Amino acid sequence: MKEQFKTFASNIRLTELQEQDAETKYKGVCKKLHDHYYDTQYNGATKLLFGSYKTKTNTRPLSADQDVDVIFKITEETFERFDNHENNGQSALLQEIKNILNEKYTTTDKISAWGKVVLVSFSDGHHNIELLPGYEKEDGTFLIPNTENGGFWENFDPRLQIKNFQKRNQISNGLAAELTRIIKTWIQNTSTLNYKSYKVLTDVISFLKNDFIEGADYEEYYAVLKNFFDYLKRVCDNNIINHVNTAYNRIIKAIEYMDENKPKEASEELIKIFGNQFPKVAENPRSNGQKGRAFVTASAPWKK
Amino acid sequence: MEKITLSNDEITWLSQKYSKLKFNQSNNTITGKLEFDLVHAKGDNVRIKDDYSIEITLHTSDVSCLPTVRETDGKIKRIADRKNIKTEDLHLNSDNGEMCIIIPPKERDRYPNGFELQQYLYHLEEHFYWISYFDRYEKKPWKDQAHSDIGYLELFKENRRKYRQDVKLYFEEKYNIKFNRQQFNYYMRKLLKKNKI
Repeated sequence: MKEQFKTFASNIRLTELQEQDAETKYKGVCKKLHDHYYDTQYNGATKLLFGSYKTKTNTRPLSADQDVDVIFKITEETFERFDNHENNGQSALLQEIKNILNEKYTTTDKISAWGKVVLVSFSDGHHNIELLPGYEKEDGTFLIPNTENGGFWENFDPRLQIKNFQKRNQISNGLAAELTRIIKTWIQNTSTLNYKSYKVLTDVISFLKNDFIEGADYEEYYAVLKNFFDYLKRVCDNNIINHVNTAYNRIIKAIEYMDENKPKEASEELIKIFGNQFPKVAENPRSNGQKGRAFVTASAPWKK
Repeated sequence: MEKITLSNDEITWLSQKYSKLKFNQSNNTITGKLEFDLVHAKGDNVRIKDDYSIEITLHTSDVSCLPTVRETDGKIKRIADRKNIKTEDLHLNSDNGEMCIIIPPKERDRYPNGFELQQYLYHLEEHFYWISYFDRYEKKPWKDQAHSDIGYLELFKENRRKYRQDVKLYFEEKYNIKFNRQQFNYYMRKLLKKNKI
């Protein structure tokens, strides 16, 4: 099953073209704003990518709700101008940004502004940009507009989780990102499961602090998944526990099939969890007759 | 403490049967990965293939004819951490990482002729089967022996004629007391009742 897991991991990862498409779109949006608010040449320094496109944990197939999350850094002058508004300057800021972007994205693309973000929806339905205008403070955190309750500035620290995740991903030799993509594929394949992306990231980081710290080979992915769902059973919210138990039991079933040299049936169990992105094994290998040593009388383990 | 010496036949058998375990003559240890493929025929017939990294130090102790064995990769500890249970509940001594595979008086039943390498490795495989089964299903494939004093009380209850002397010696040494027959019987009755065994 090593090959199946390898293929699965590749199947759910964005292609280079898809990554380029996302980059083209967020660069286009941020450059337009940069050219409006700054006198300098755009070099990317006035934007901060965060979320799954930063951590590279987005998955294939693409869906309309996989937005690219990006902060556009507003200048101090801009922040003060809207902070001095008597009436919901935060809403006015979002509207101004919407209007600027409307100059560029005029026909089929749709721009809306509400809550904390401006959403640029593209006509192809992929890689919509969820843009947060943010004023960067000295400590590297941001003040972002929130239009609710008459408007206020909200503290936002996207760098902390990114930093924690990237550190864990480096230590685990990429397993953190790969496991996150696998779990997101499970979420996409489980219609009633409400398990937020930021929570997935937090759980994956915590899990990898104890298990598979330095990563895993594809042949160990069964154990990675078994252990992750076992861990999740203990830390997840009640509203997803049934889904977690179901996934865990299916993983165990798949492992049992593997131990019985039945990779075809094992792959069918995994398809139930992850959908058809997981490759199905066409047929089982011919039995070599090995059945495992049977034992009857076992000694009781003890503790001094 | 006495050194256990492996015969040439045992060393050859080890390399043929367990290719990932290596005998190290210089420090008289066996180290490497113990792989197993087992079915508990008396249980629910679940087949488990798994492996654990181990270090067997080939010497006996004052209370045991068996070598000491440690799980070197930390797999058992990680299982315990993940499940929020004590490593002792997975029969791992938290002080020195040694595994507790059998209560000493029962060694005579399993090893009537003293230490035998094949019997010992089969025993280890079954012990690890217990751990892997518990990890998967969160239930014990067969009953384990209770910890410490309670384990000895269970032995006494199981077969007081057979294990009487072992249990008596255990409590005398541990609590530095000498019992006559009557005192010991009274003490056991009291402990069994107190611990609801």
